[in-house]
Amino acid sequence: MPQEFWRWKEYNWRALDLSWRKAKIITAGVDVGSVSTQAVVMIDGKLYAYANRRTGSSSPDSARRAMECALEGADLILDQIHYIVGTGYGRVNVPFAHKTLTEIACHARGANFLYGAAVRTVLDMGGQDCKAIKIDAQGKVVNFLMNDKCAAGTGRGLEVIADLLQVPIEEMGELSLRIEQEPEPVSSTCVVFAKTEALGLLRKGWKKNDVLAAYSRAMAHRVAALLRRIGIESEFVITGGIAKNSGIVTRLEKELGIVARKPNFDTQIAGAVGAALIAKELFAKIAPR
Amino acid sequence: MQNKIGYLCTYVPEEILHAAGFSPVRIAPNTTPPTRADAHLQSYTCCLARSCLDQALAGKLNDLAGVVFAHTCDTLQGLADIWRATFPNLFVETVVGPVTLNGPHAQKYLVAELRRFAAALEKHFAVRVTDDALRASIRLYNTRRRALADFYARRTEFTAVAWFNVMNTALTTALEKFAIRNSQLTIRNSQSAIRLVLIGATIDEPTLPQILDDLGARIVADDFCNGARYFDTLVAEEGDPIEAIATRELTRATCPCKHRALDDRVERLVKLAKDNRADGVIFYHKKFCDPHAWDYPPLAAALDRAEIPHLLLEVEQVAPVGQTRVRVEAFLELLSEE
Repeated sequence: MPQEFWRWKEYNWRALDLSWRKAKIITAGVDVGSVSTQAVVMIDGKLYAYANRRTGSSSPDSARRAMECALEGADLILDQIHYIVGTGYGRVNVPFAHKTLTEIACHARGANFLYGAAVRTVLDMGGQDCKAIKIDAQGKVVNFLMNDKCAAGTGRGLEVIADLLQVPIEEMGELSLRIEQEPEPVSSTCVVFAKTEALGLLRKGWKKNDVLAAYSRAMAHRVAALLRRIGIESEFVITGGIAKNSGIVTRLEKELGIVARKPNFDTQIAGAVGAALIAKELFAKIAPR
Repeated sequence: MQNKIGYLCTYVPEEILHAAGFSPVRIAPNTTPPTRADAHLQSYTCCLARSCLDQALAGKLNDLAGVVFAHTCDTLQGLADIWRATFPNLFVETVVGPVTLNGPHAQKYLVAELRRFAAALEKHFAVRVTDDALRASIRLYNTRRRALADFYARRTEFTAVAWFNVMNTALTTALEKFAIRNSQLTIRNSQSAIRLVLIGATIDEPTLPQILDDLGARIVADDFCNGARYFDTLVAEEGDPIEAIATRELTRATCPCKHRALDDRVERLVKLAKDNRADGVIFYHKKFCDPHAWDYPPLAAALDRAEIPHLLLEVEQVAPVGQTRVRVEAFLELLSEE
């Protein structure tokens, strides 16, 4: 089978030093995105386990698979989780969710938890859209803006370019920074146009790294406009899969003149973390004291 | 059956068309993606222009004896010329009303323009537009406006889709066939108290109302051309009928193409939101609609000052369900947290 350059690694994680058996409240968040699905389990508001999987053609199956993957080896079953919030593009199709919320509310809350209460601007760069979110100290949404329909400047667009250039998606960011001179950006309005342009550059004899740089710059350009419209207040953080691409993050920081706080966790789980945290609050409201 | 004359903008005087013996109907965008119109218009033209022209080119408007435009936005002015050139045998007219509605000569000018328009109808179709016929038409259209206003007074009892259906069919059906049918009036059963004001040019397909119903929000007021702006002002039934029609056009709630004072529209819409105790405002913009886009920044700023949250939706012919829903849902989450 030929190498699939766009394919990023699916994986799970569990805090081996924590035990759910002593927990008072076990909650979960499931974020069914257009490209990836994350399930996060929290015990008493602490990160306990999570999984990151590709979203399949069925949202309920994707949600189930991610949840099973997160719970793998934990000896914990779905029914023992007190409250589950579904979020993301497929949120209404999470069969075991008690409630659904938008990924905008969940990324806001997740960013507040993962990066701290000083965060005021969250950029969620997801699989098929981008969201600029202004939040308060409690992680609540103050205002938000979403990009237009097209997938340029999103994870799906990045996968297309990875495939075209035959560069593993995880390496794209670093490679795009290893260049002699920063090129002009490619077209940033449409992923198909961008791909056509990238192809043209390759034919002209451009090196892969330079084409990657031109594409990354276009992506940075595009989301910068979204952020400028809503107004950037520090601290500024990026969530979602593209936050892992140093080439885009670096260019975005340069364009905006602001440094994004760097994470020490997987930025893709922010939405599901927010969902699990909100699940805890919601459960506390209905639980008998 | 009376001959129908189509119009795209509610600044076209229905009463004059009706008094000339025609049945004026609004031409509205449908949900079919345009194919033929793209040979005449750029893709950055609004869906109203593209879809309406497309329907005409596809022969779907062949039952119209004419199409009347009003001088409002650049796109519709250009569209009038395209229509005239493309359908040379059709009666195509533009009523060029004043832009500054309270200018010293606005009334006198508009009266003269409306008389010119009536004369053009008379000449082209060999008909007479008498004062008596005008007065009768004025009374009939006032009756329809009153019926819509009565429905509007009870609008929060009904679903957003019911609101859409009543408003949308009112102008696209002939006056004689107009009725608010009980079957249209779905009672809302949601308990949610989130109150929204909708602002935009026209709303022509029910994706947004359906989403609002699904999420339990209610529309407490609107500022659509085919919504509350249509019936907010009646034509005086006494005095010179053309003068009365002109007075209504000059005093009714403005669209962004018309001007009364710098802050007239801003103040009116902020007041609309406050008077209706709105929790939030949704701007429902047609993509590439310049007048509403230019109108947005001062309106948004005024709502910010009044601490009324607002959301901008930009839609083409049919709002994409998933994308629209996530924006609206996140907005409602934001409102319900406060």
